[in-house]
Amino acid sequence: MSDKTETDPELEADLLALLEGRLDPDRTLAIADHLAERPERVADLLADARNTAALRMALSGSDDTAPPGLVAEARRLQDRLRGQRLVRRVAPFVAAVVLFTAGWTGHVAWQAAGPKGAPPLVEAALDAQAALELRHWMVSQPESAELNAQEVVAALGVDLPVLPKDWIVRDVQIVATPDRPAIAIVVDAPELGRLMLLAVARNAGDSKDPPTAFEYRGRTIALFERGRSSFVLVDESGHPEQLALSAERLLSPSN
Amino acid sequence: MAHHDLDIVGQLEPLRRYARVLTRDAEAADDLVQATFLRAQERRGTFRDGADVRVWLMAILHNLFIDGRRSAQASEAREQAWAESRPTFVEASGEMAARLAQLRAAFLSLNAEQREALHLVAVEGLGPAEAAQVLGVPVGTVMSRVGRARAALRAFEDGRGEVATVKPLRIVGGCDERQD
Repeated sequence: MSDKTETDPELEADLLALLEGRLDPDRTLAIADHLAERPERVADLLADARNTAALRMALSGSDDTAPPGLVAEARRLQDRLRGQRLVRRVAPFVAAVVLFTAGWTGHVAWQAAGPKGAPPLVEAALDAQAALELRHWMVSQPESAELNAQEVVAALGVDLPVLPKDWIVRDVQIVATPDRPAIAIVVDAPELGRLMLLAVARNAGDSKDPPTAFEYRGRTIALFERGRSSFVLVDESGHPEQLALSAERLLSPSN
Repeated sequence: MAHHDLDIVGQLEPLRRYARVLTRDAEAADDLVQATFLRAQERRGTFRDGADVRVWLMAILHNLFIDGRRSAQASEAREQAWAESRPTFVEASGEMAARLAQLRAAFLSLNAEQREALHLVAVEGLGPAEAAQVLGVPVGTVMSRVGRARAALRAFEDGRGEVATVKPLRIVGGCDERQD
């Protein structure tokens, strides 16, 4: 028995994988060469493999069925997570609709296609998101979770929608955009997960663009305007690979 | 990637198994799994699409267990139950049975940190990074705990002796803060 443990965690992790044939040929050769010089480790390795197999047998309880209560709980959680995933794939779009229906009236026809080349405002929103994400991890940069809509209006000239009551504001920061300062609000919305809303005042002469939702750089983004303000909603919790398809399907004109 | 495609029902057995390894008591283990599902419901907003649901649930279960252990009374009660050897795992049959039961007893008597790490990596087959996520410690720490746990079990198998022969190894290569 060797009483010292290997110091290379990658090597340790691969030893059993080698025995189970799960390593690619390059790594198999490298580990086999390493072991050829250490016969005492080979004996240990076989003992480990034997103990692992025996433990798997000793700890399996296949003829012990789970209590019905636990199965029911598992199924409930499963249904909710699947529902949540479905909604999240188009989170910014859904959130924008929530904002419109909660505080704003009027029919809005959404466009599924993104603008040709992302508008500078979307780039600014993604930059802001990156900055806020960084702040989130920095102890010396505390989040500010207080949202004072009146002060925002006075300072930035932005009309903020009334956020649904169950949305929790996590961070509120003033951020830069190409034209003027904007406000970025990070919220946790039930079912939708974490979202960032960026709001900025519009120029008086700007043309009014229809609201759009699209995928850009691995995120779903909703872009819309109201009165004298422009808004960008960015999904923070979705999985990039899975976003595009569902968003397109849900937002397609035939839907 | 989500290998399990949000299959929570399919996670029941691994969750109950890990809970039994942590609590060493079948009833307490099912209570822990139940509490894990309730906590997961509350926190489902934190589940990231595409994340591994098994790792997410195991981490919640692990944290709940650690929180619960802070109550000394609960800990003592569980130690008592363990000492009384209430049946926690299903007995194997055949000639291997006695040997498996011995090995299991040796495994369950490892200190908690080694037992958790070895269980996740060897029995559940999690990668070192996934196990580190569940346990909330660096990958290197996971692997050194696994290494010590394996050495302890080898010592047990070599000696086929009392579990007590395993104990001196606890101090090899590091300190074990938790004595549960």
